[in-house]
Amino acid sequence: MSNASSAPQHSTDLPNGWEMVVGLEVHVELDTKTKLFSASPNHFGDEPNTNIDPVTLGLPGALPVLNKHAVELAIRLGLALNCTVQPSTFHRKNYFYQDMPKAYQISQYDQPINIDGYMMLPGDVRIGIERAHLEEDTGKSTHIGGTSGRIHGSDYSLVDFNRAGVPLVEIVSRPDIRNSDQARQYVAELRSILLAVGASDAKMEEGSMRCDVNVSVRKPGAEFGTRCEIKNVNSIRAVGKAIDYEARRQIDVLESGGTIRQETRHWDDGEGRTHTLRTKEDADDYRYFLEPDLVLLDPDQEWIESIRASLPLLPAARRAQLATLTGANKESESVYVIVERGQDDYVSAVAQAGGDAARALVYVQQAFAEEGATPKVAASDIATLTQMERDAKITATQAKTILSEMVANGGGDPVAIAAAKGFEALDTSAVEAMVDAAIAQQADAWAKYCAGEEKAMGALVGAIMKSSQGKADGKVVTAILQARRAK
Amino acid sequence: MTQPFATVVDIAADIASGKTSAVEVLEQHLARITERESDIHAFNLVTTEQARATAQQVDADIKAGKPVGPLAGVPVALKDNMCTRGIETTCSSKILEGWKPPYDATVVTRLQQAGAVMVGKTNLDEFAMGSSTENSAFGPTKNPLDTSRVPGGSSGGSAAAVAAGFAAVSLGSDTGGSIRQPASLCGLVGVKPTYGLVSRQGIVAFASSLDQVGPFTHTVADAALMMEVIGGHDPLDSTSLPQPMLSLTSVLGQGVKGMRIGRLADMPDGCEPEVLARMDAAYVALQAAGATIVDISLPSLSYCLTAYYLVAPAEASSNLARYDGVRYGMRVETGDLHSMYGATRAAGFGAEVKRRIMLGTYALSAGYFDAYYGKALKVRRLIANDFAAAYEKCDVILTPTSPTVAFPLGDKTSDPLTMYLCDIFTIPTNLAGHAAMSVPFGTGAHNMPVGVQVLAPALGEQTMFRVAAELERAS
Amino acid sequence: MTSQLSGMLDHFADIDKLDLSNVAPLAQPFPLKNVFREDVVVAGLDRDEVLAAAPAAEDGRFRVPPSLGLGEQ
Repeated sequence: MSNASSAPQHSTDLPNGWEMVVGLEVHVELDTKTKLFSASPNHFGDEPNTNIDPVTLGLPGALPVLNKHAVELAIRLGLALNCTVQPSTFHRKNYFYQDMPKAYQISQYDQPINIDGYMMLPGDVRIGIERAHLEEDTGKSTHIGGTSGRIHGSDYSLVDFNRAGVPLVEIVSRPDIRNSDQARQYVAELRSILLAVGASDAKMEEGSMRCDVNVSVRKPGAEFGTRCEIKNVNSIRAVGKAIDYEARRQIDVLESGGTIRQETRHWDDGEGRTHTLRTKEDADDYRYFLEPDLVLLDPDQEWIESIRASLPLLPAARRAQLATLTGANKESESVYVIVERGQDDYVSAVAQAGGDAARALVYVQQAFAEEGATPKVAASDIATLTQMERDAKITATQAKTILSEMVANGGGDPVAIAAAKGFEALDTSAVEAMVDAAIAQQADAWAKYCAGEEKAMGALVGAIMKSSQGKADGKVVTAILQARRAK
Repeated sequence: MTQPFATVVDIAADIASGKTSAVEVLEQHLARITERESDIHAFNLVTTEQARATAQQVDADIKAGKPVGPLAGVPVALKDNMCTRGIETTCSSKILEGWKPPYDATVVTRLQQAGAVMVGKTNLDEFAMGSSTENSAFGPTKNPLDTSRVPGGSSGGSAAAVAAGFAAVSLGSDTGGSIRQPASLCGLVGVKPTYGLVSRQGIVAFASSLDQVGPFTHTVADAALMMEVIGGHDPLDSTSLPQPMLSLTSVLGQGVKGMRIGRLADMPDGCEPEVLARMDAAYVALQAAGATIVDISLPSLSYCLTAYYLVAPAEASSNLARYDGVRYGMRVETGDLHSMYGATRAAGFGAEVKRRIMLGTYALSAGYFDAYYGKALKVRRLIANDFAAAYEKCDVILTPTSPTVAFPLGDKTSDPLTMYLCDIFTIPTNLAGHAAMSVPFGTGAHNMPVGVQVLAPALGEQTMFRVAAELERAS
Repeated sequence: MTSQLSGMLDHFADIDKLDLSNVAPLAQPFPLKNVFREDVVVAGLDRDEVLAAAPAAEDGRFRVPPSLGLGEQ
């Protein structure tokens, strides 16, 4: 998954001055060993119905007991999202469905554990977080028969309760998002924060992170329009597409004199459009009431502060640190990518070993896409490589070749590799001789270049690189050519 | 009142000392079951073979000199809403008929560890909703003292099993009086412990914030022993009180000297005069033993019935939603999921259960929540406040357990409200989460037993048992 | 049953007489808080035993008739 700022900018202005108003509800599965209210494993991909117990199955007489680690992860996430952690309660949300074993979901309702946070997006855009509350996940149904496993027209369904009771945090943003780029940035940043604090593995493809999107449109300054909730938005790319589609759909309806019905819609990624799932009129009455089988959750201040103290540096702070170290823009693609991969400490280690931080940023971004937070190549060897390039002992092209070899071999001494490949920097007088030879051979190009046609330089550089067999440093060649012209 | 059957304390002592054997004791009880069960219908299931195997094991352990528990060889019956691994647990409902839980309730495990021998699962009003055990899908239980009369309910089967000598002791559950009222009607001791003192894990929920498990016994000492076995913290129940079990057997001889006994100044209408006469006798007896009688009032008492019949059905409507034909129990096959739910629940639940689910669903629904459920929770606070004020003046409160003695079968089945009035004295305790117990104290009309209810504040069991023991001595 | 229910609701209107405006609701008897379990796996139920008690099962899962509507998530 690419980071938000590096993804193509496909959010476009809406027609006729319309503005979209977007809020996101993101469910994330917490990375615990067991379920929210029982001791069965919380583990994705196991054989169906092997992670079950009386609580998970909603057997008569089974009682929930809250998983302390799930609470701790929820608090970690809340603090990372700048929320206030408050005393909280659990309610029962009553509804019948085959994958909801007790026919109610235990969820936090009017007193959620985390409230009133925010997240910063590029350009100092602040997105409010209304709440981030604990609740339990449902089981999973497979629809058999009919057309292609879809629910409508299926012959029957098979239910697996392994996922039932897995701890979730639902993060509800305020309707502060104004375009699909921000929405994608929000989801990407949330994912980075989840990974950084260890709250979730946040794998959208495995469903451990799932987005519902609320979209409405209005003219700027007007009251909020009627919103539609879009479900089944299962990738960051889809978040952007679904929002753009839905905003335009609503504008089309309004501009043709219609009104927007408050409804839940389903994103069809294949068709690239949303469909009505149910309207507000058929909305269930969930008959929320306080869960009598659970007690008040009131984390004491000491616990909250010890969790706060144990938080790692968050992605935004790490990006700022990396930007300062490397001189790059904190909103640049390379900074986002490196922090997302967790390789910022590695870049910092290269710098500490005497390497050039700016070069290291480029090398690591280019060469270590497949590596984790700690690439196998020793940071000191990368430091040496950046020094060799900086000191013009090798060219940028040669550096890249050496780097590839180091990555392929899981390490290596760049000095030895350069020597083995016969990479040695030509001294400046040798390059000057080659430049002069090229000017003599390519008189036309030289004349054009001197007349101010910058493109003509390419032919000259090409000739020089050829005669030097790639050993001449492109930057040095360019500098000499410019000096000759200036004379 | 004398009782013809051996007590838990005596049975356990005689088996442990080798005076008799667990098998012998069991066979005596099984013989009485054979003789009278067809008339009484105390049980949904008699677990003869398992019981014999357990009793033999107890005897073998004793013979081998192994240490045995305080209930070694004592025959117990369990209300059929307590999960017993591999043994049918039905709640006297068609919707759970045939269901064998894959796990044991905590109280069941504790009984097993104490060496008890389970003889069977007892009949109840379906999902514990009723006061006569006439709402069972498998037919009513009769009162062993007069089989034309009800045993009370909802734990009527558990009461009848002990009253008929089918088991030395039984467990019931009490949501609004379901242990105390049948104990009263069958001439037994019945205890509703402080909420959270006994684990609810594995007890099929009726109303989670009200349900508690407790024993039916012939004597106060047996009840104290049973409480010590089943009570105490359980990490599998989040509402279990985080403290060790109170010692009760040790306080029974301490008497009531200097104790202040609360008497309701404004007794609600509807009590039989013979019941009131026994209450007067109880006050006299306690006074004679050195206690003082003080008048107290519970101004919100008359609203408790309403609060209870909104809170309990509301919780029940949610607790019983899980019987949907998907994972266990009955299913009526239809073409689609939602009609399957409807058909299964229509066929699986009896009238009273449906009535309470509808009532509870209504009380919780948007637009009515504040008027019904919300208000009921506030009345619940009022009665708790009333009790708090009363317990400034007294240590325990005495009331009748039931306004009447056991009534004839069919007497109250046509009008649910009349039936609900049976619970007028027992419901407030559940709403407040306090302790209460019924102690047999002579007989009333038709020579049927009358129970006196001793109410105590939360965790006031020691005081409550001292008063109960005194009443027992005086009866 | 509907008439019985409305009769009961009429009876329950007795609490309308009470002034409850300053009364806090009491949903649970005692104010316990922070009851937790540690995040440790305990052996659960055997799938075959559980599915044997199910009304219908197939392929290690519970079998149900098709739904005409959609669930929550």
